[in-house]
Amino acid sequence: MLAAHSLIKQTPQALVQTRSLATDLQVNKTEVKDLSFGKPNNAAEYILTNVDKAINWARQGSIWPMTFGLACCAVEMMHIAASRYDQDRLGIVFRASPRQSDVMIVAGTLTNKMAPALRKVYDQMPEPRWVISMGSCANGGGYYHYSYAVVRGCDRIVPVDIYVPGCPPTAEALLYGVLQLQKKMRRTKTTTLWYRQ
Amino acid sequence: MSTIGRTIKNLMKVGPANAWRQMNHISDTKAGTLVGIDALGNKYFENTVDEYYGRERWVEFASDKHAEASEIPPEWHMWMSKMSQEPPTAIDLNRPKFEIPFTPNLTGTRGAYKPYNTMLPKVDAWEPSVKARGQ
Repeated sequence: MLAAHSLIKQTPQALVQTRSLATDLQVNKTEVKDLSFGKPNNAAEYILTNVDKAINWARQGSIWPMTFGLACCAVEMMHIAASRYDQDRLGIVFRASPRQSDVMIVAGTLTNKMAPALRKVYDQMPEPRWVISMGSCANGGGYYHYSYAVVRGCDRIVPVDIYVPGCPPTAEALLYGVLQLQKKMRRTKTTTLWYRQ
Repeated sequence: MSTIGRTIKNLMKVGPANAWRQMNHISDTKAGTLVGIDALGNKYFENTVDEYYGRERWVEFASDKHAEASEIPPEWHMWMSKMSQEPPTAIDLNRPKFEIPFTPNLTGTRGAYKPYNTMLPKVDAWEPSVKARGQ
């Protein structure tokens, strides 16, 4: 076993040399660039992009999900509220009321019987609202795709922002989905687009 | 998790500039030994003495504050999640020829995957022809 500490004794030069070992990875830097705010064209846009950033900061820091736990995925959704993944550190608080929630996490199989209720709850949520589709069943029917009683994906009922794959996805995967949603929120241009109109 | 004493102690070790960056990124100061740097420029650290079990290996991302875990290449992910004791710089990774280059998750960027259809559409769109009304 080569302990990491023996590496540390080497010079930083040795550390940098190791980079070339792993440099088969070539990442196009321009591709990785986020679809964020471009360069502001004038003073008003300069101000409004900063206003947007403040809005986005507030939104992504207090995501209140409407818990739409339908099946076993809901258990994994509970795990991100528990101490290990601890959604509270991201400002996520489960809110069992559509009126005060921002995000709906559809966790589990959406049946035909439940679909009108899902749509009703979605309609009751205030704007801006987002939907995370969690698990195979919510994404596209999953295991129950050919059942006569199941909606083949909750995106047939509500517009979905983030699809989290898995059966069920781990709590880690769901949390990663939430982080992706935060990423999406960060590129929202509320006032900038209003101004450009 | 972090105390003022620990924060200041680590600030002294890593210097104010690093500490500022760390506070912005991970809301904590951490001092450890640099184990390696990957091709993206991410720096990997370890401190088995002062850190709790599970927190003794960490990465300082080269990209901005909103870096995410998919920017860690697979071989370093192996080290971070303790699949290997040694860092990938000390292991013969035995890379196969057909290994494709690593890319982080490009969702939400210009490079994001866009699905497309290679089949002919099975449905013909309906073009309504309506007679003018009231005549």
